[in-house]
Amino acid sequence: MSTPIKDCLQTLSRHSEVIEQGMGGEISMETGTPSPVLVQLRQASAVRPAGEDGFRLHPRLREYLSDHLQLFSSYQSLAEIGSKIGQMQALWNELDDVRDSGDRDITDALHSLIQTTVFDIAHALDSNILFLQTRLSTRYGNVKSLDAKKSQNRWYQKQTAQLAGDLNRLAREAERIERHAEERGIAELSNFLRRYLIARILPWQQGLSEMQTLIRKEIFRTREVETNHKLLARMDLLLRQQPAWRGFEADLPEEIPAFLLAARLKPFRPHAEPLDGDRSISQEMELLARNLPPKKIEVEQVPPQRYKRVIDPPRKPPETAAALMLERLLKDLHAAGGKPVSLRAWRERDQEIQETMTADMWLVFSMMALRSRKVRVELIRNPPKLGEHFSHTFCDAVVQPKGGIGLRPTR
Amino acid sequence: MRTINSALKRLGEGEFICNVHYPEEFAALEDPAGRQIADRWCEDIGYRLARLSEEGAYFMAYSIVTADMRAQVREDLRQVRNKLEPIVGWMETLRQSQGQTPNIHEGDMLWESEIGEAVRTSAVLERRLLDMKDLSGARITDTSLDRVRRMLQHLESEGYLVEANPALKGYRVTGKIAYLYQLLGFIAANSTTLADDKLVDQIDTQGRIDAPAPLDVAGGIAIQEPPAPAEEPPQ
Repeated sequence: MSTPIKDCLQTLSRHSEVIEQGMGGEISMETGTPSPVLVQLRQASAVRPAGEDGFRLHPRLREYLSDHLQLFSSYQSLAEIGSKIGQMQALWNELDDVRDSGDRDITDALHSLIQTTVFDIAHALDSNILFLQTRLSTRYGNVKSLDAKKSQNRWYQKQTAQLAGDLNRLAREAERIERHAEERGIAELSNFLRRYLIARILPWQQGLSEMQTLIRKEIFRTREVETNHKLLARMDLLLRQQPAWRGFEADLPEEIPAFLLAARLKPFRPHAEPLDGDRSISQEMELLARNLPPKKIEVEQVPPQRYKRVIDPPRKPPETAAALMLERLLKDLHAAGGKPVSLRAWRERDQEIQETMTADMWLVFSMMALRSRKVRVELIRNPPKLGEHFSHTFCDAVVQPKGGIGLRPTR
Repeated sequence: MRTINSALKRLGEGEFICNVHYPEEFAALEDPAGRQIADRWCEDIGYRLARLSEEGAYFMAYSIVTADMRAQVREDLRQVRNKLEPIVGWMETLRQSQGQTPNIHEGDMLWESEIGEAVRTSAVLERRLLDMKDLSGARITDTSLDRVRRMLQHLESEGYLVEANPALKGYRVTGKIAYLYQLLGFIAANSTTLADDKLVDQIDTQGRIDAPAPLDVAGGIAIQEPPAPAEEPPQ
């Protein structure tokens, strides 16, 4: 029985030669393809118009064939996953909304679509990593020039950076959907995401990171190659144009590069009947001894001198007269047992305060100190003067201890 | 064990052991156990095992740098031309003979026939080879291909190339080439000779002997009018 799929595949099979030709470039009547064949392929949507009367192979068909035959062309873009992540996210939002309605068919369909999207993402990432591995292991195949290699390096550096960004986004989204699915009791979906996506993200990230390192190395190497060529050409020019140039005065760094210290052992030359008194033998032995590498001087290991850290014991700050007075006040307030106490009256009973502080200074000091301890202190204001709307001065302050909070003396 | 012994012998001879020139010895030194043996051996005789880069060729280097040795290195650099000639000239000839895509780094393949053909078809390269006085054994009757062959053989004996295909005369560049590039890099970094920090590409308007000097009238010489553009031939 004929079906649309069978018909389409039969058309492709009948004209396989034209499709093979289409992989290489444009097909048209001028390239020898008969018009009826083009019409049939057009009807099967295997070709797309290109230019005036030419046709090109359908991009998906080309992609399929490249994928199947592992044909990696230059500057091939990596399979994009950004849109698929967006699609997965949108499908999950839809599933989340529809789930409450209880329509089983729609939820099943959405579930199935999410699974297909996940498989598509996994396939795209696997093929991308494989593609990059192939390209980098063969150093982009047989590129003709250094410029072509540099250009491809740049291209794949950008592509991998973009893919790495998408992969990070995928990791975030997959974990979010998995967590929400778990919370909403959709264990089937959360298990599926864990098994087919989340468990594989780390290997993908590692693979991509390796590829990025390789590309960076390759870029460095191409730069090095260019520099080497330039230096070689300039040194050759210098040697040819300046026959008198012998060398240069080097300001050697502290650590001399190893290549400048390359050494070789003196070749062994046997002598027939050497005599100790022979002058040439003694000279040669002297020369050999001079050329011996310097001996390593064994430096006696002196244990490092140890010092003891001395920490001073904590020292109490000296108590001031004001602090002592405040302490006495707190004791009295505590003893008052909740009765209001006038600060002015209290001062008048204490001889020491009268000698140390004036009345106004005492009022302000004690009031601020008590308020900082969360003790309620009320001002006894003077009546406003003539012409004033508000009173601006006070003559006393009364402590209203409530339940003794903050009145406990510190000692 | 035999390969590590052979590697030690090569190190003692002052050879650069790379994947191209001495692959088995290189593999023995890449093995951690082999490298440990080589390290110990070098240390026992007062040297150390060194590499040209992270993945480059192995070689033996002095372990302790004394004041005398520093003075010797400084003296060597004062006479560095002796080390550069004639290798730089030969390598540059190989580079130029490969046109826009030169391959003269470790592992690159060179074919005697290709280089010979490039030299034969280029008067500049042919002249360059004829001018080379350092090609020992060269005769006046030598063809350009003979000179190319001699040059490649000299580079092989110096350890920069290794014959990879005796039948088709294919040579592979060894890891020792990195030594030459590092030396050039050191010269560029430590002298003003090759430094190009202040180099700006510009057209140098040099005076021509056959052209009259364009001076003003006050100077006594009249300014010459620029020549009128040639008339276009009738179509």
